[in-house]
Amino acid sequence: MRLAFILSEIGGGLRRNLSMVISVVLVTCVSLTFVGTAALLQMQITQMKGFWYDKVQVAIFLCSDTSNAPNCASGPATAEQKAGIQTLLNSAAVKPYIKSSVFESQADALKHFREQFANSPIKDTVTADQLPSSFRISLVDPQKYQIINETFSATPGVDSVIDQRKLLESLFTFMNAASVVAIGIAALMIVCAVLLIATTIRLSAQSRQREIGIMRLVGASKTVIQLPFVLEGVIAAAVGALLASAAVWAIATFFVQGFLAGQFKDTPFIAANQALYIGPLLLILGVALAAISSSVSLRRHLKV
Amino acid sequence: MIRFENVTKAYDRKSRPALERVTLEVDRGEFAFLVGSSGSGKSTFLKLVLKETRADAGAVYVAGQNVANVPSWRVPKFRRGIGVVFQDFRLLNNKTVFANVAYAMQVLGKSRSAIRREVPDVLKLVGLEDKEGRKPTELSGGEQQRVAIARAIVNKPGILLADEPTGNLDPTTSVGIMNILDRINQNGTTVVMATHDDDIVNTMRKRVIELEGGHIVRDEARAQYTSMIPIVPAAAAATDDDGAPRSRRARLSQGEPDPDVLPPRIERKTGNEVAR
Repeated sequence: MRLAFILSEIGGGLRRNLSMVISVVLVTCVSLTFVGTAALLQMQITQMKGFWYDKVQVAIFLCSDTSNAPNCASGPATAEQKAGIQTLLNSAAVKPYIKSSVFESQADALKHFREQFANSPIKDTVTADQLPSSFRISLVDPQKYQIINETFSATPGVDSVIDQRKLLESLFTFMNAASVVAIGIAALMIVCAVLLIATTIRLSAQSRQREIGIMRLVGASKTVIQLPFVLEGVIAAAVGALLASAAVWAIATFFVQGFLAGQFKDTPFIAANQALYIGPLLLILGVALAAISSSVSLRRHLKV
Repeated sequence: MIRFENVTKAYDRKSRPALERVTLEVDRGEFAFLVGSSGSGKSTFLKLVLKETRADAGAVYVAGQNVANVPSWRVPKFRRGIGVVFQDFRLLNNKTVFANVAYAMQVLGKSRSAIRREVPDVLKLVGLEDKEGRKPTELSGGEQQRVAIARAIVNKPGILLADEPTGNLDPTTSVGIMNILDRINQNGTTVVMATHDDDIVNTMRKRVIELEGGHIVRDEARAQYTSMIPIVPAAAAATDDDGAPRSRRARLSQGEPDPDVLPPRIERKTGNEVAR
């Protein structure tokens, strides 16, 4: 009976200030969508790091006909130079840092190049002798690139030592910046949502002064008086959080999987169902925010 | 049932206390009128009984319990033992008569069957059994006050406080309300009623506690009350043959000046100004 009473009170309250409730729903929805998007970005960064860091290597490019580095003044790398590099790779000073190393000949390089640019007409204009041969090295710890660089950059026959991770680093920096911006906007919007919920609850309490007065006089407990108001805010915020979860899922499905994954075929994107993990988190966040802000508001504006 | 021991209450330090060293006792099943002009401390008295406000000094006992010792979380339960009726009815205009009375039971979590059983009984007691489905706006003032009384007693409190329940009603309707309060009192409920209405006090012949400036100036059983200012010279002439003071309404009908036209507090206020 008391439950039925509280539920009917909540229904009445939601109906009475419908426009405020709708604005709470929308503001919560927008703010939590930003939170969700930031979470998606972070998941995407983690995914890409895991994928690329395994594949990305340090490449030691050997001198070829076309290279013009000072180290390559004497022409393409000779077989002895190549063997020297191989020996150095196996030496005690370098070996512990290397997980694996593979020699990529000019023919292999051409094959990989053609695979990579399968859709582009450029693949037919490049020949094997234009591409340098290289040692592809996977490091035990990708951070230790500097050791390889110092050891090999001055070795005869080496054109250059390149850490491919560096190329990705700028992409990750960009994505991190984007997620910081999203979090910043989300924080602002959450402040708006909290204030709006507090105001809504205050208005709701003021419009029901008479009912509250009667409840107090007949000795209704604090819970019975306050719970409808708190739940009103919580329900509105929960609806907003559900909408935000749907929006995040839609972004993952239609934008990331439907559009981006089609555009960038060899980039690993997060799957749409990974976005489903974000939903419950947004719901908990929204409900907690509403519960806290409405009870603070009630404590200040509703004497019991 | 209600006991005040040297109770003092001031709303702020500068002004005169609303109640000052008031000691009094209202027994179980008693019917007491609390009379006095506006600002004499009647409402403060009722608020102290309800624990709406705290006494600065002294102790207030309600149903044998010192209200100062009732922890705040127990206050709701404490208030369930007290029914309250106001001058302005305080009904919910969007609910029917039945729903208004049922509301007081719903918020306490009473079962639907209990509500269906007890609300009609209470409405019958106040004489509204045929108006269950009406909205308060469709009722007369007297009927609205009866709904308010029904709501106040539906949870069977031991004490009923009435703060000028007839203040907005005409004399005939007031008599009806007083009959209901009397019936409730005869069922064993202690009734304390604050009022200005001398006619009612004089017809009921119950205990009268008169407050003035926060002090009890009179406490008599089966007494009468005249709200006129005692120092009006005409007062001597305005007595009936049996020596009892005539009611204000009777005096007014004879064309005498209404003492209420002069606000009775003027004198005291100037006194305050000087004191400050």
